[in-house]
Amino acid sequence: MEALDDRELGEVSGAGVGFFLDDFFYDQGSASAQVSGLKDSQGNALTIDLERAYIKGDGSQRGALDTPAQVGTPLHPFTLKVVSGAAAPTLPSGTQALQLTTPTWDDPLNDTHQYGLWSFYQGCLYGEAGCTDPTLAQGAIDTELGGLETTRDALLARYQSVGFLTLKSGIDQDMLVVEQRRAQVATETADVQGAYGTMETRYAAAPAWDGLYRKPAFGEKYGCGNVCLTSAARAYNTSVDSYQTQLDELAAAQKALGEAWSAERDGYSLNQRATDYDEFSSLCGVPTAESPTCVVGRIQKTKDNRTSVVLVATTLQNGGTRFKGLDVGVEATFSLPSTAYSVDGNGNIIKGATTTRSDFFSINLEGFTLNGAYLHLWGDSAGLQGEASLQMYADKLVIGGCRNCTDANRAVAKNLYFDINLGQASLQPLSFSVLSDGELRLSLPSVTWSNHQAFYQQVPKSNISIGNLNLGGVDLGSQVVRGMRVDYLEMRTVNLPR
Amino acid sequence: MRSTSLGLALLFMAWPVLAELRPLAEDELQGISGQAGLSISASLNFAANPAQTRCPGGCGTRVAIQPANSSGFIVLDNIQGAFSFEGLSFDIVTIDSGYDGDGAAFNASAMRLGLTDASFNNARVTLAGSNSATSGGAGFQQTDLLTYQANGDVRLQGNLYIFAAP
Repeated sequence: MEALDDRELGEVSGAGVGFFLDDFFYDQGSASAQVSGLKDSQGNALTIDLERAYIKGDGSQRGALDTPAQVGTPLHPFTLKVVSGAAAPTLPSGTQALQLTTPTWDDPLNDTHQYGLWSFYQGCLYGEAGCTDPTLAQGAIDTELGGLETTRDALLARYQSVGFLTLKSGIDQDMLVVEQRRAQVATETADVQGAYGTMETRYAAAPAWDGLYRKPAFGEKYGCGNVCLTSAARAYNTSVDSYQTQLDELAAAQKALGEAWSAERDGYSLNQRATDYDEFSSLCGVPTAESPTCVVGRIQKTKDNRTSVVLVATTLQNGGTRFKGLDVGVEATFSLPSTAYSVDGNGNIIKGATTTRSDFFSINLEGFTLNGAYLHLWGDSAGLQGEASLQMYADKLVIGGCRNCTDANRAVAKNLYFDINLGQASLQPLSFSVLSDGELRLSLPSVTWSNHQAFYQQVPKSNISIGNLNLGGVDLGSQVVRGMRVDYLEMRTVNLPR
Repeated sequence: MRSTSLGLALLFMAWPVLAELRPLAEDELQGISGQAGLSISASLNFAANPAQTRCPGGCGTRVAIQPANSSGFIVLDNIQGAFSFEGLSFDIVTIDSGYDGDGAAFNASAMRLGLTDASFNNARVTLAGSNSATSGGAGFQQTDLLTYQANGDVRLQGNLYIFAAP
């Protein structure tokens, strides 16, 4: 080992620090731990007693065994460094950011995006009984792709003789009528509201009796019709007639609008044609020819995903293994104020005594990895800014509300993939600051008119997928949320009670 | 939360350790290459200051951080209690094998920190946002978000390797 002198140390600027953990586990052991200081909206204290917490290696049987974990390797470590330019292309030019990355792999099994995608289609947890064939995922994505292509083919066949550009121009022409009639409906709606207002005003001014005739219910007329004795009663009767006339005109306008949507061209109603055109655009991209191609859109995206799914399945079939993840778990008791309510003999709801209730809560993650995630932090005139991509995958997430029970009484999610992207350095930086009164503020600036095109093209979306969700022993199948993007976020703490 | 407070405690404990290292000259440091590393045992006690009446029984240590261009501070407040561990090891090793071939490809030195069991004695810390770095005084405002308390022995093992990354 040679010592670096100060001059040499000065020259290593730009390089960062790498680190990884080997033979690691953490267990709360016999220690007690408590989180307090939280309050409900009435200012009552809420405490969380952490009874058990652990971070161990995959296969620890939810922390029962001291299975050591390895988090990262010498060539795939966590890194902490200062980056700019090509290393962080989203940063505004001239900005340097502190970058924290988690272990990152390119191979299909350890790349969280590819493996997460495959695991969603696979549905079951690979390696468990009945789930030893990695090509199940391939079958599932083929079925999905087949369904999309069948829909596309049906649409292509339906409008083959018409052509998609002609279809679009027909829709545009017919939509002009729809727009006119929508405007008419809006006008008639305003007229109805106006007539109703007049009727209300005149009803208020109308007398309790007009000769022999008693004041009618609102919306009905005095029996004296046009020959009432008082002008107020006559004016009210007229306003009821006007209101009825306006209602009839609105009904007619709505009927005309409905007819405009039914306008037929090429044998299909406008409603059908517009729906079909939108569906085709979603599947294949907006048509640019009478016989359009299908090289963008959902079908192409699914084909790209299929490539990843097949790659993962093939690698697994060839005996490839995935770097083992972590088992992480927390068991806690929440003590919180609870007020009893009851119903008395008259059906009134009576507030009872407030007591402290204890709720048990457990959360266990099995085979958890955070590969390929990053965080960029920098400061500018607006404060501390950041952007983050969280790539969380877990074989299993088990959430329980019962202390002594089995997984049949818990929520069990398998093949969980959280692809959460928060902020984009240039267009929507995540901003953290502490206000002058000591309250914390976390915000994502909103999209603006001047940046909306770049915003929707470049600000990354977030996705969550679950291969299978089981609640209380009932399989609910796969769940997916795709394409979430935060247009605007403003979070700040508030000192309770206000 | 646990790891945060532990990490923080480790941060604090690092200072007295470095202070002990300082008397070694550079040539002496070179001399220890290849030798057994250091083993560190420590017990750190954060006592409350009874003069500060803002917290019941007096406030403990306060760490205030002001993020860039923020008007307020994020605060780790009222740090109290004891944190101790025995046999935390520290040495420099060469990684040239293992890790499914990654070790041989890496073939370089790394600093190794051997983690060990730790013990908390009524340790506590409060996470808060505040308008002032120091506590108390006129116009002082603070929002306590949560308080974490730990007491007893936790089991921890593992080696943390730290090295220069390109």
